[in-house]
Amino acid sequence: MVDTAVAETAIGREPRRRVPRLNVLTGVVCGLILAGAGWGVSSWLLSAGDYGADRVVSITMVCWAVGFLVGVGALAGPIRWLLGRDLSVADEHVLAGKDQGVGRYFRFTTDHKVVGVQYLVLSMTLFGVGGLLAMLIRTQLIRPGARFVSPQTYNTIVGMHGIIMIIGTIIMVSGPFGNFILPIMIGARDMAFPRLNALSFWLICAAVPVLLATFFFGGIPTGWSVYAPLSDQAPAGMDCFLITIIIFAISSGIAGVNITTTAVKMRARGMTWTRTPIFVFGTVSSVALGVIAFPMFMAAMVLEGLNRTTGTVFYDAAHGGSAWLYAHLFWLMGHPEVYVILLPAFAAVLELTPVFARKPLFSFLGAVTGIAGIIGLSMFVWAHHMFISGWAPALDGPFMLTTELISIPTGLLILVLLGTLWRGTVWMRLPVMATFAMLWNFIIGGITGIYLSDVPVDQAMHGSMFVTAHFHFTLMGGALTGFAGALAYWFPKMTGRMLDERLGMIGFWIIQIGFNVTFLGMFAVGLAGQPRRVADYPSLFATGNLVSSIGAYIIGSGALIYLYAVVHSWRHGRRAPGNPWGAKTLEWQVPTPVPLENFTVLPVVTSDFYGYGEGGSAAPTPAPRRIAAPVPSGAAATTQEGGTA
Amino acid sequence: MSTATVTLTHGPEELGEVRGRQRLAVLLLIAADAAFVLSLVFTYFYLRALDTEGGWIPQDGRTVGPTAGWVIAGVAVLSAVAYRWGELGIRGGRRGRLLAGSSAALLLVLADAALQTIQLGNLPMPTTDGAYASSFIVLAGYHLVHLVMTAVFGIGICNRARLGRFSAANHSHVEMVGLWWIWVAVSALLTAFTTSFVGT
Ligand SMILES: [Cu+2]
Repeated sequence: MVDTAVAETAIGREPRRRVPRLNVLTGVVCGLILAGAGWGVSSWLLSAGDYGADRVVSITMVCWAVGFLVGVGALAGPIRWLLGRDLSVADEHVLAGKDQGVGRYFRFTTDHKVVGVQYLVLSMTLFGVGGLLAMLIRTQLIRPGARFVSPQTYNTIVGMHGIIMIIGTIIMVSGPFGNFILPIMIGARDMAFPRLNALSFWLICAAVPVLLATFFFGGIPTGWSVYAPLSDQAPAGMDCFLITIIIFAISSGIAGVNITTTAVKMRARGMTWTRTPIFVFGTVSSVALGVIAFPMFMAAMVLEGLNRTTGTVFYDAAHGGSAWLYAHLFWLMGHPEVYVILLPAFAAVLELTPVFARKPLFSFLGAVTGIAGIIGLSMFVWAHHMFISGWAPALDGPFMLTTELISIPTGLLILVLLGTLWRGTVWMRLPVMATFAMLWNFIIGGITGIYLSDVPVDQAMHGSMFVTAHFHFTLMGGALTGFAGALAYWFPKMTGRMLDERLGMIGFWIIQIGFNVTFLGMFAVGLAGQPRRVADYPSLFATGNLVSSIGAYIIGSGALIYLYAVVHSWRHGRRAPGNPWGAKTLEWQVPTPVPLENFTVLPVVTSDFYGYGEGGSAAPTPAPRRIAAPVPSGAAATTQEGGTA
Repeated sequence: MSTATVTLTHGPEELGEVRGRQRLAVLLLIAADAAFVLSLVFTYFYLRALDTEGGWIPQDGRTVGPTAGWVIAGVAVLSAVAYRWGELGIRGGRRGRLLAGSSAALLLVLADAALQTIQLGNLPMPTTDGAYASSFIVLAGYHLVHLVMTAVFGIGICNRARLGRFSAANHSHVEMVGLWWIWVAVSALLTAFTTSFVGT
């Protein structure tokens, strides 16, 4: 609260601890109490009639989320603002988790480094759950006629796998690294709005139990796209899904605003846009795109929620509504979202490749142009998901064209990666493996995408396993691989320990082999005509599916090895030096573990960060030494900032 | 990289810098909210244009006239004007004027919320009949949500103005809430405009 920051920064004032330190446990208790109350009151007053069950479930879930946020202490700041009793500097320090040990990771802590680690653990947990569901899917499909789960359950598993992975991949890079690394990378002391930062994380924590509750209310037998009118007919699990998406949209909006503001307004002195690391461009353009895209998804969900709880008819063609309306709102978000997922991961790989090629990024401008081109075009391609819906056949051609055009900026990014590797003496460490794997996977994913954008091909391939294989090559082979690279790259800075290279390499490459086996098999059965999202198939597709299932188990075992490497290294790994890769960006110039304030003295940037020796030298250049500046007399006041959220 | 280490400002960050950040953030939040509102506007016009199976207008043809929507938007605009008047006051250091302006604005927002509630409570058509009813209700309903949010911000500003927390040099929160207040008025006008197109 800046208005009082000045009034209250009286140096030497007795620090008064006035914020109660609530934690995740109080959050759960408070959430359960309020959910119980909401359930009781709504079943008493609103449970009658056609929409009764949906009303009760929706209100209960909203009450849970509000109760959880209150219980975890997320609303303390806003309420204090309303009352005019702002948090003091001492309070802000308590909120930032100063001197609080491990407990701060289970609290509403505002330090961006804590939030980054929280996001990392959360996204990896989501991948664990989503991956488990993927194993169930592939087990069901291992042979024709398998009765591992019922068809209804299978549909729910497919939908839940989809949405959990979508949420997990949306937050996987901009959450952990956008929060932990990005502010340090640009020379800032924290995010622009530390409390909003924590809020965005805890909102997702409030949403995850709601999403999992879907299983107990009949599931979502619709796939994650929850198309109307299937969603109108679905059981109350759909209400949980809708509430989840609405909460998630609010969270990603807040996170997007925060990260964008931080990167635009808080870059170090001298860090002009041409000197700003490419990772910042990728992350900011992704989250800024999300700020515009997710409200449309939220609108689609709000309308669906109203259909289910009040009897409105938005998507009901029998009463003047239209299922096309849903398809538009959904895909207006749905296609940009692909780039929301992809760009930060791609940018992380663009960031780490020069470090290991020991060469400057090949055409920084090309990379920025590629990112901008993707962002610009991504808003104008959505109807390629509607080619066979019968909506505006005259527009099929133009949408085919825009979709094909987007391969140009995407190709530019590939070119930048290749150019950076070209004639470099690549230092073969774990992070840069992601560059090679991503190039291979993403080119396959991208080119099959061009086929699918073609209207006649799409007529045949739409809704087939070919589509499923295509987007797994982009989102998993591309984006998730980028995440694995980013994790290996920034792991030493975030945890203070080196990631076990041997186990990491083994796990990483087993995942990659399993991945290609799984989805190349899926391309084959898709081309042969197997529809996606169906629990069974004719024996014609048996071989391809068996191959895919075996591949999936290989991915699973590789993922377990990688996970073990991460967990084990986090606890017992070799201590990491401040700059193990000899990288030049700012986050590697601060000590590890990073102090609460990041920088004692704010840096001034005088050149870009990619000045590695031309021709590529394998030996890492030693990190430039920073001369300790004289501490000014007002230095005590450095710790008095931060109260700006 | 060469990081010359030069000592920069310490102590409380420059107010101007913080204000710039807050301003960008509020504008981005408004952009997100606008994407939501425009989705609802799109819904209205799209379903009206499709008129699927002649199902836009309810069976018995009863609709809401456009006048009430413009009155409701008018009150929202008035409240934004009152707030702005108060905001301009604090720029010159006049705390009393800020308190008067923001209180008047708050009262107008509450009155507008009452009007909107009355309108939604007395609709001539049921929600289940026709896409027009659905599209109208969600737009008007979201205006009510806007008003509730604005009222919460307004209570905060009034209270803080009462406590003397703002001065000519230091009133960025007043400005930020002001941006939101203007957007709510604009969005109300957009809603009134949209719902003026009734028949197909
Ligand atoms: Cu698409």
